[in-house]
Amino acid sequence: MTRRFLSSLLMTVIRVIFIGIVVGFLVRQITSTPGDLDLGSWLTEPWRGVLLNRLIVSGRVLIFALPTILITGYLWGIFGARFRRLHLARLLSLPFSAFACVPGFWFVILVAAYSYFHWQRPGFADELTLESGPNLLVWWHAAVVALPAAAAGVAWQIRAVATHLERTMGLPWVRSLLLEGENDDTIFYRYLLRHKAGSLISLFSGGIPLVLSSLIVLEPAFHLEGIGALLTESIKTSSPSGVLISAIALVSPSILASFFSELFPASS
Amino acid sequence: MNRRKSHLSLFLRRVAIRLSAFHRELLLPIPYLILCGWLFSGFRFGSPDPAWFDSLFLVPERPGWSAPDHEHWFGTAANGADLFEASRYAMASSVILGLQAISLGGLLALLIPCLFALRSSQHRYRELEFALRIVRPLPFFLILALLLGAWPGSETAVWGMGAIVAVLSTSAMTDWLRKREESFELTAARIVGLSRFQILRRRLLPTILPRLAGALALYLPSTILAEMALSFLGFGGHRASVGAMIARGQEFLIEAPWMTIYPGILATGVVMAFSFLGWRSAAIVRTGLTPPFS
Repeated sequence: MTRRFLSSLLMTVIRVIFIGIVVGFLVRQITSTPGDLDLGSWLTEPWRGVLLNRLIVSGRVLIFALPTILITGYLWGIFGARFRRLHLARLLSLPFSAFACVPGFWFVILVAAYSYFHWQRPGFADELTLESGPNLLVWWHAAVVALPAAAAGVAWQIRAVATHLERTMGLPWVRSLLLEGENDDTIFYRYLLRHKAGSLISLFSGGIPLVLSSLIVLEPAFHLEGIGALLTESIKTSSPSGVLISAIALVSPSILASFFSELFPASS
Repeated sequence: MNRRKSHLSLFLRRVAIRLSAFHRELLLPIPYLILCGWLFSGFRFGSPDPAWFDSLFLVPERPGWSAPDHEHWFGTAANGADLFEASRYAMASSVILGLQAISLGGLLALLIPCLFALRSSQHRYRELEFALRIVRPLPFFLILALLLGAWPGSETAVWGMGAIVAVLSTSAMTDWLRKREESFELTAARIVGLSRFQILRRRLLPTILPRLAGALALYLPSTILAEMALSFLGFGGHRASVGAMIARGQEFLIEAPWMTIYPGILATGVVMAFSFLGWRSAAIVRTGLTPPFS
């Protein structure tokens, strides 16, 4: 375990150095005036407040998207692998795969058109002011953005979990259990799942980069002022600090997730 | 009655069995050809006039747009041009870019693991797998957005998306090659004394190449979506793209909603068609699960 932890840590350090070099080089190219990289100003008020607000907005979307990917992906993946003869994993992931074909930036148009023709309000009723009670509108906005953001991730996670379990079903030790007279349910739930739990957990990091990448497109499309929108704004205005901070914020969860997934036995 | 069958009937039966075994592979290119033929019919290769694309969304004093009808299925744009033809042209432009990226990525994915496969060392893929392990968990679209922010243009998009496809396909290729190297047949080939080049050419590539084609077919819709997303964000330059059409058309969502809704329907339909064909291709050649295009 200690060896695996050290190897994961080393990989993470190398990954951080690599991404630092790549992003740093690209930021240099984006900014028109090299040398104005002032990270200090970003970490002081009022920038710190702005950054925190952006992180909170993106965090709300992630709160919906990531658990959706993990819960649906794992449960339906396991269910699909159990009923592999009915090709259930493919059927269960099909709606999500089909929804992932819908461009997320176009989905916002449908939502906006629906809002206008049903509530006579274009967009997302941002001008409504809350007088009392919890602000459920921000959570509604986050949920709408999380829907297209999570679609591709859920589809991939279902197939990844199911494929991994289905591959294991053909191994000699599973066949020997069948020959011993154990029934399918016992083999699957008692032996196979328990045996493959570690490598299944290592699959959890696959969907996270998908969600983070989709935030870069969906947040500007939905006019949601999150960290993805900050990146695109910063690129357009050639703001090196904005690009760097948003890039770090978007890359960090992926790197962290891959560090934790490498602590478990490899899935392949 | 136990009559022996004629040679002709045996031959015909053999041909029928062969054809039934390959019918899926033989039939699959047909929908691809139909889809691409329809998209590219009347397509002019090379950069179109940027003014033509801009004029679709420049609203004069009396806009020439009209709602969809029998003559114009998607309605007309601000200058009175048929929106269906404009959307088809923009979609074809996105597909061309996706195809270029796929070709580039596929070529790199073929070349890099093959170079490593020629090595005589027992752990010949170790360095490559280490490099891929570092790169693979990163959100690639972020790098793509930064790349296009630094160097806007179609060439950067093609190179960037090609590199992403190359990383993902190389990852899958290396996995397939490593597993194939462990098979009994390859062990026998080594004992017989075949050189690394012979093993690669005769034993590895014939089984791996169709799977790579399946993986590339899976990545094509993702590259098309990525290209449209970049154009939507304004990183695509002045290229005609459905992403840019939706971005510019949303200003007229109340007055002329068809300018954004219908190009989006076309894009969804085309991406879904390419996805479906990609899934079928991957299932036929047994590509298996590939890393996601993030």
